[in-house]
Amino acid sequence: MMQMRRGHHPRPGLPAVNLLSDAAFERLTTRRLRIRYLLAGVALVALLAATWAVQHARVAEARGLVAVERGETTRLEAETQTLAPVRAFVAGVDLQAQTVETNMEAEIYFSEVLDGLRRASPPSVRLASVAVTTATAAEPPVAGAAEAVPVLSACPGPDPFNTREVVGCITLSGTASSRFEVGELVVNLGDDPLFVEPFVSITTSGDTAGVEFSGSVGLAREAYSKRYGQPAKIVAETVSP
Amino acid sequence: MRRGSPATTNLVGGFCLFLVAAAGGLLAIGPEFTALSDARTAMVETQDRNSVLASQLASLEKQSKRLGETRRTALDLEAKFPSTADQPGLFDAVTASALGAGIGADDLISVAPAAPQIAGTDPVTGLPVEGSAALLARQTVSVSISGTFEETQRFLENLEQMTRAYLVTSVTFAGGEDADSYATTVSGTMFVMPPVPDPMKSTDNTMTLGG
Repeated sequence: MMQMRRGHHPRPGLPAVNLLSDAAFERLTTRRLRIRYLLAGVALVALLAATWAVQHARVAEARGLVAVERGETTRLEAETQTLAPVRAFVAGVDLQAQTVETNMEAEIYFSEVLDGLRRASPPSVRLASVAVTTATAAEPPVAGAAEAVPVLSACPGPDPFNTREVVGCITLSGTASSRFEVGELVVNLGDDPLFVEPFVSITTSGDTAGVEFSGSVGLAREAYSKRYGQPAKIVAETVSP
Repeated sequence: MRRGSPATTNLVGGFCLFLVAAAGGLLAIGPEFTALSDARTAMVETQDRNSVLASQLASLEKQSKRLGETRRTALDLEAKFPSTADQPGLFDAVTASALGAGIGADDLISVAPAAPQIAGTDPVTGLPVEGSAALLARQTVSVSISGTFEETQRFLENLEQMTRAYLVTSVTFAGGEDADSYATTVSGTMFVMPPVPDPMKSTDNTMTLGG
């Protein structure tokens, strides 16, 4: 700057005399610099303050919104808490419904089983005794338990290589006019969807006319009432008598 | 470098400006940015939680409006699986089933309900098995009758239509001296289940619920 001042041409008509030393010019320059830095510092501080103020306002606004949201949380929690007994009641009833369904799903309409036996019996056949036992009788299903365990069926079948699912076993005995009638009973039982694997274990000719017989027949899944849902599949194994 | 020279002034001034900017950024502006970020995070979390709570509340209000239906279901379940053995009700129902099938009271030979046993208890010690919920008790009920084949079939049909659930597990019948008469024994399981407390009947609950 000093160089520039030195390079200035004197104004025409006026004398150009500069008596200041270089040190004085330097001090003047330094002073101007200090003033500029001071002004820059003030401007910087003002900028920082403005930025802080804007941010502070945004923070305050955000915290206000958080406070509003938390107020909503409190209200929602209070209402949820008020209705908590309803939730417990509904959950309890749902669990009870599941328990009823699980425990009753193996229900069999035994009246229909007897009706099926009567339909299958030729006129001369008289049933002397019938015993029906369900495969799940030993261990009724429990809610939440795994599927029914495999059951060893006491129901013998005519085909040991092609055993079918048996949900119950009927052992029966009676009298018939002839073995032909007994065979007809076996055929009729085999044709009825309620029954599977009919098997007569003995026929004997007694003192009276006709024959006495005893045997067994399995109950198919169709025997389930199904009003409580579909029961789990039962894996049955047939054993020889 | 002399003290008070323009170069020194530039150096000191620039450093001071830098110091002011750094201090302002670190001590004033930075915390505000952090606070804003925290506030926004808190707002998002709170909004998310509110969204979940609102969803739960909507579900609860829906359940509350359907409380009447749920209560009817509970009553229906209680009829199937009553809260006690309800022996008078059991005897009445079995007798009605027999009479409805044409089997007289004399031919209803026996009704034998065993005491209910809580499911999940050790049959020897009677203590609950670890991990099992004492939600259900079972009782074996055996009924013996005498009647014709048709009467026996109708009796079984009536038992199946009883309000109380009866899981028949075995039926044995054998012909007697009379060609048309059979002695029949029906065995099965009935269940006893404690009722779920109704929120409207709770004494310490003053809320108003729909349904």
